[in-house]
Amino acid sequence: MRAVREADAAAIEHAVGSASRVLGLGRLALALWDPGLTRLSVVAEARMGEVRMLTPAQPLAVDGVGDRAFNLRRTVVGSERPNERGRVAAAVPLCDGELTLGVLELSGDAPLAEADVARLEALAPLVTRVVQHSRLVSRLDRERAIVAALADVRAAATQATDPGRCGSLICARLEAILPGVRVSLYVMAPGGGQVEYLAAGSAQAWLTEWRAIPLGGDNIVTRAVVAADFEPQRTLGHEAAARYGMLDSVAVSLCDGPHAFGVLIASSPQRIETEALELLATSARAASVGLALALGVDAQRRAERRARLLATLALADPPDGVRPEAALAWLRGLARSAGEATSSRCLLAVPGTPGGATPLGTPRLGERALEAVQRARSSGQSVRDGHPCTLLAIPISVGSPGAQLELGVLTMETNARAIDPEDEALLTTLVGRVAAAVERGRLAEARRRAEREKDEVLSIVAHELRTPITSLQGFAAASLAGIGGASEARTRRAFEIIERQARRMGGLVSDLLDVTRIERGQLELRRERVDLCALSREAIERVSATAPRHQFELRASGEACAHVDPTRVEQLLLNLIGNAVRYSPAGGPVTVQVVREEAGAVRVDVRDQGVGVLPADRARIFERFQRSAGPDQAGEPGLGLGLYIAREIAVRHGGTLWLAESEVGRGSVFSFRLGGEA
Amino acid sequence: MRRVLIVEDDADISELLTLMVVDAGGEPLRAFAGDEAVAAVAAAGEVAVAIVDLSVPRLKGSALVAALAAQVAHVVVVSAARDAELVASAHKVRACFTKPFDVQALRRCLTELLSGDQSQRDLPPRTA
Repeated sequence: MRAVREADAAAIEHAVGSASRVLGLGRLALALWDPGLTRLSVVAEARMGEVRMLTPAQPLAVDGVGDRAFNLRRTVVGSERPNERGRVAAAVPLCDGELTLGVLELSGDAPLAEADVARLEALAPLVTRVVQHSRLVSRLDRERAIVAALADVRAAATQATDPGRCGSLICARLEAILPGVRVSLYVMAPGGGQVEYLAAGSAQAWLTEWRAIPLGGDNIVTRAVVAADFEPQRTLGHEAAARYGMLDSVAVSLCDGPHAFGVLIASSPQRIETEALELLATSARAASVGLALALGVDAQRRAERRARLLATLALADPPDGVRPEAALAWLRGLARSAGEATSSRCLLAVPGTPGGATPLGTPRLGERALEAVQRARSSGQSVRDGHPCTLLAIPISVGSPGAQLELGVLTMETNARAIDPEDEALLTTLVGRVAAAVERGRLAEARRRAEREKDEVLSIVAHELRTPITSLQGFAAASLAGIGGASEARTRRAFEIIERQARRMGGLVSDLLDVTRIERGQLELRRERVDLCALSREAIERVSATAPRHQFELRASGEACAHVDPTRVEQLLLNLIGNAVRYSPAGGPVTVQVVREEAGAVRVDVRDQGVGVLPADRARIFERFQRSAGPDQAGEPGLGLGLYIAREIAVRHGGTLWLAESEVGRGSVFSFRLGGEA
Repeated sequence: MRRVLIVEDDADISELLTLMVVDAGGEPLRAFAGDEAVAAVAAAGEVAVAIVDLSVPRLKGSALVAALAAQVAHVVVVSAARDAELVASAHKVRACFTKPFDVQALRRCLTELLSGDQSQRDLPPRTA
């Protein structure tokens, strides 16, 4: 800012010229206090009425004289001390009440006469009045300019309700008022910690690495924000920004109430003068009102749109969750609405086809979003990216940990604003609704499956019970009707069969009860020290009594003891040996081998040379109500519970049971291991 | 004496059916699997009645009934299978009993089939 504005230059030029003519000798110089600097500068000089305005202002011609006159507020004559050019000088202060505006200096080649000095002193008040007037005019002009600028800024701030547009208008207006100065606006990111870019006037390019400025430490932005609590809208500090071709930067806080909600940053390739700073501070105050309103309106609008979407969602009927694709299509639509409601980009990424050839996501997801999606998938957690957060990825999965069904990842990306907690809450709600729909569908499906299974089981049980009932009823009725004669041997035979079939029915019923106990976790064990060799021998004896076509062999030496429930382990052995017999219908050897293993464990192998287990059936046979369909088997009799119960008994003991070997047509080996430390 | 083939894989029920065949005046032949049944008919030459359980190893169900119906005068199905009646009606079998069966009803059926000559007229022409 120059010491003399152009409008006032003519008045000053005229005053100095007239004074010079009156004095009629030497060089008359007018020096004024530079409002931006801390020294007196000559703004006009005249010789014999010839005036020259000096732009920029220059230092006084005679060292010390002017300064002394200014400081002492009286006339100082420098005749005793000529300057380097051999001149002598006299300086008169220009006093305006308490203020000293400047000095009027007269210098000549010869010592000045008393009369000359007196004439100079007499001229001083006249020049003072001219300067006073020019100052007044100048201040008036400036204030008028500021008022106009403020009105302009205020109008800009209240014109637009979109914060970005409002900010751009404010910046552009300020840049128009302050030539060379670049203005940008930053607002506080949600959660504090930093301010983020909102708008700039003309200079977008230099803002690229300034999009978000972390608060903390000693920088102008932090100082502006922190000091706002004590002294709102103060200009705070200057900082060089030479990297951007800037000499000076200042930050002014934007306040709505007691706290700063942002900062206005002005940078200039020149020093930003006090006058400009005052203008910036005043403008910031004016801008704050409109900007805070725009931000509030914007947040309010987003909140309203979010609330409307949530209300729609609460009333909406989620699709049939049995088919996750339908639920995901629904979510895709919801994501679009969420994007519109929050002025963001919401997309749904779904895993590729089972073949794995299709990459996850859609072509519209950017690299950054894809990377976040991958992170969300692998961690199973929401991913927030950017400071402030402008990318959110929420994984969607249903089911309990370990048995999860991954449905996809919902992403949200924002531009020029951070994702706030409400945005995240909205997305979480969407994900929750979809996951719940799918979960409900899965439960309904599981229920239907359980119903089907129950029907199936009932049908198997009914069928299996029919066979013994046929014998029971048939032999009883035949005996009553005298079929086959009434001899004692015949009657006895009938009773034998009736007794055996009744026991078979009892076995089926107790197997069913065991399944119920296992499923309720009520299979109790009464453990004691048991010799598995002896137990195996007893089991073989019991089975061999009813299987005359098979040869049994026990391979064991000495004792093989374990801490187990003898009744349950015998049941396990009977099931395995019984299966060996049942699945070798042509007869043949059945071998039971008891092996002592390390750490006190005992392994038992039951080997047969029967039909074997088809590879496809090897996992299934351990499930409830599943029987191996051997290559030429009609579906062997039984409920398909033997191996299930046997394995559960082993597992309840802390042991294992498995199909060790099997070859179709050559036989199988089932093994179990009990006891030991494991 | 008329031959009666019993196709049943459960030993006890097979024994019961044997008693009933003897009681009705038939000569029992026992088979425990479908293919055994077909072989037994071929070996026996002439069989008056086949009592067939549909769920026996190897050859079974509809195929078994079809194979026997071509060789035997009368087929009687005795089965616990749910589709027993359906198979029976498809092959025009003489009677179908669902397990557990009514001993007296089966006895009457066998007695009727093994007495009188009307069964001879229904015998299909022998091809081998």
